[in-house]
Amino acid sequence: MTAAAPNEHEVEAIEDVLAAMGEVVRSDGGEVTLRSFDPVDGRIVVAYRQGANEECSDCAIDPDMLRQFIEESLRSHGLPACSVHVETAV
Amino acid sequence: MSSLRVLNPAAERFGDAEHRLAPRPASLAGRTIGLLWNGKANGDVALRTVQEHLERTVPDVAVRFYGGAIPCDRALLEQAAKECDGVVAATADCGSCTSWITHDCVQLERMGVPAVVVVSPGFEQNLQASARAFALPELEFVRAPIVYNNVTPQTARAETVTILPELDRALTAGEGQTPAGEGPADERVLEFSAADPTDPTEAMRAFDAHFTGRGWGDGYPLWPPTADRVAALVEGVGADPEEVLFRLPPGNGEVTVEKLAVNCAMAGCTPGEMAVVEAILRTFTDQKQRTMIRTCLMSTSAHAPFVVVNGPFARRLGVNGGRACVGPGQQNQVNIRISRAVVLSLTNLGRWSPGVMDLDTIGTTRKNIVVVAENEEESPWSAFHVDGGYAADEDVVTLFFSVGEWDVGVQGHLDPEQLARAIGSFSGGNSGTGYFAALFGDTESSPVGRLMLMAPAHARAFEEGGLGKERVRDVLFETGKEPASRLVEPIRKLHQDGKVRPEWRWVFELDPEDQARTPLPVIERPEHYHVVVAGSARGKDLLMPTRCKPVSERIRSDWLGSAGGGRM
Repeated sequence: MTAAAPNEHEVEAIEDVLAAMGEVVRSDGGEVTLRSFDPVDGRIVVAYRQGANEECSDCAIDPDMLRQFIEESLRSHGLPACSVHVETAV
Repeated sequence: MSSLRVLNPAAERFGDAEHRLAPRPASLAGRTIGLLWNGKANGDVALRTVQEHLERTVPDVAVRFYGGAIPCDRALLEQAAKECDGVVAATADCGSCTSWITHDCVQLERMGVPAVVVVSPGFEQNLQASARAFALPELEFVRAPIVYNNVTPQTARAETVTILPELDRALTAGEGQTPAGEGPADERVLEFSAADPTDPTEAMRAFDAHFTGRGWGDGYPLWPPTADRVAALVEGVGADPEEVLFRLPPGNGEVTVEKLAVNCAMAGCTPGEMAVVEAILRTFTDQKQRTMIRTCLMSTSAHAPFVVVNGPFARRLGVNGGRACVGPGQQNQVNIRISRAVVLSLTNLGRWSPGVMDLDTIGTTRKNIVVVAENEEESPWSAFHVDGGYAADEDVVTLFFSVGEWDVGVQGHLDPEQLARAIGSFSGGNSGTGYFAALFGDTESSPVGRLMLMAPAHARAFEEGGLGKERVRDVLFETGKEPASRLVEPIRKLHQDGKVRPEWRWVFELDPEDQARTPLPVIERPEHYHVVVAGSARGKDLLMPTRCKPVSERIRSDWLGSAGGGRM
């Protein structure tokens, strides 16, 4: 079976959300990149290098929080069926 | 009795249907305002200060305090939405809490409750990125002058007092906006009558007073956008009046061909001029620069759009790039009609109005927006748009944001290199936070730059002396230096707050004498210096510090084909 190609709206929404979240985590030196997106089951895999905030250890966004943000953001962009998996990178 | 029937210039829709702010009340009198605290230090002090202000200044207001968390419980948000007509949330002053408080306020807006976030300096960009991620980029926030985490409660209270008017504004409908519960924006057609048949200008004056009073004008007398005038413009460019072109920042109003034509008619534009206006407005919608463009439009600093038009159509249309091409006069009538139409469109379709979504402290006459052509006929160099990758026969507009202007008065020169140094010595000095801090995006997307309108006489002197445009630019960059001691002065506080980019911290570690002896360029890289040839015979130039990367767009060829260029 050939995987379905992602449609333009899906790709655009994912890129928009990851660009925005990338901007958010960058303030603490973090980085988030898209590894893969399967349009059939809506699974999105992102790589996340978590930043650090010396003045506030709770301030940097942890991987689970990032997952929640991305899922919530994708719902806001009309992609409610996506599941997000965050792979931590060093 | 004579009468005048004109079309409404305001956008019918702002924002996406699902992703727009909740309607604001006309005032907070008699309303219940919620204060949502996420537990961050001194956020409660800030909110109690807001409470005292509201109870002291707003008649019959009720205030409820909600102690939340990061993130707030959904049930608490629903309770606040049920009990309140507006919510102030504090504070956004770290990565995760900024994103969560943004998330919480987006939820409140989606429940129909106006919300505003108190954000500490340095976290605005984080908040805006989060708001974009949660698909409500217009979410209101007010920047506090301090990071609440770092100060005493007394300071937190004193500094909060300075932002109270902004918080009031964020929760209420501004001038020109439609308060909640007061019906649709307006009817499509408005009629003005003259009671005195002997005074033919009376209906015109009634129309002008009404439009200007509604915030639909620019302060100067307006042309009436009658249905016939608007139809002639639409037909002139051969477009469908219902076609949705784009959404215009900062308010993201829906721009249809007809609404664009209404605003162009108010400036007295021809169809050809309307084609240029459309391209200029399209530059404001550039997706790569959207955060910085919105920031420039809404800033309390006087960032002003400045537009350069290139290509053969500009010459055919009569856009002036020659003598006194910046300023008033009959020689600039095309430039002025185009610039007025851009201002009116930004106002009526983008909500770019002072006190609404343009938050200038003082403002500038440059916000009348200058539109000029490049003087390609007298320039010895390739045109600006050609340097940007367009063909010479393409018609292109380029948007800059200027933050000031300097007359460059050079009295003759000894040789081309010395002339370049003489012009380059007009550096433009400090502009904003310079390039040391990244408060307003990275230096790729929002560089501090320079735009030099260079007289043809100077450009020719350089070319004849063997200096190409690129070499001239490099000399201007190298010569335009200032002592480090001068450049660091406006951002010592940012350095203290850790907001200076790591690669520039060494400058702040020099002792004062070394800082005074260390020259640094006023912009980071030579490619941030842009040279456009304009003006007439005498060698006088105009230098403008700029913010934001220039954005270019082609003028629609299908509109040009229909529009021609003559007067209607």
